Amino acid sequence: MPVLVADCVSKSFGDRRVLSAASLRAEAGKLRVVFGRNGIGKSTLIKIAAGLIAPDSGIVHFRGTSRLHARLASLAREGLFYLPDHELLSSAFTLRRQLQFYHDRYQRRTVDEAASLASVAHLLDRRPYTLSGGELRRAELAVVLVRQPECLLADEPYRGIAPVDHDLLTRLLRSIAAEGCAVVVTGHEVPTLLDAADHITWCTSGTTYELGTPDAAQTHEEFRRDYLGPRVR
Amino acid sequence: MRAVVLWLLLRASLSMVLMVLSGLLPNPIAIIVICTIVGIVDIRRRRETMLWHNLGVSTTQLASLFLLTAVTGEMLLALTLL
Repeated sequence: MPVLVADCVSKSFGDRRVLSAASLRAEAGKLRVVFGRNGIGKSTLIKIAAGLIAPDSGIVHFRGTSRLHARLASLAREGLFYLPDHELLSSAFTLRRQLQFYHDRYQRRTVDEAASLASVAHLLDRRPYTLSGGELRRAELAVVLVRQPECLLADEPYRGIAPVDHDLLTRLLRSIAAEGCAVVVTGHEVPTLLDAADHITWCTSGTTYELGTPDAAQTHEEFRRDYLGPRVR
Repeated sequence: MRAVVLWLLLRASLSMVLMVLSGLLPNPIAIIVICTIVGIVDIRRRRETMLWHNLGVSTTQLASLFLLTAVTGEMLLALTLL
């Protein structure tokens, strides 16, 4: 049974209909990647699932409970974690302090253990604005490791990261999924994400298609033509 | 702590400005409302919304924190001045 389902979701911004009948599922221990062109509604779908945007229609089910008006704060208390494409961490506090907030609140993994796993132990006493893009992403994943959520929704976690840091990020996301967390990731880093994923969802024309495993997805003619392009594999 | 500092700063600065301009003290209700609004705006300005929401703290709860701090401060001030 999926941990999170955003079912038959639609959303318009003014006259522009972004999603018409899109769905998103997250299953425990699986890493799902949502692909789709820019502006097609991937982030909107993730934000609806996280309770940050109210859909025009559709419903979010989280851990077996249906919610017409999901809110991130209440979903977070029950085990959801939303990793935005930027600005998860505050510049007002050191990284150690922010990790400690999560440890004190949820009593899961310790700060030092998480920092060590995410290779940010040497950055704990720095403030986020002094970190590079790659360091910041690792620091954000250290927050996820401290929190140990039931479900992680990560919006473009690889954006702005040097390719050399992709492997570490993938390892961390895979280890989070291996602990039983349902992980959903969006992004355009096709080779990296195809290697990392258990399941591919394609977001296009306001709806979503479940393409199955990365191997199965790559045999999907329309997905290859409209998204992957001829160069992939 | 931030809520206390905010209330102190707002209370002191508004009192000074109003005393100079009109010789009156600001309305405690106005101070409480302004404290709550400025507190939430400050959270957004610092881009801490995601941090607090992922910690399970909603905007309403954050607003309540600023409101309760200002109410407590105004009550203590009123008791002191009585």
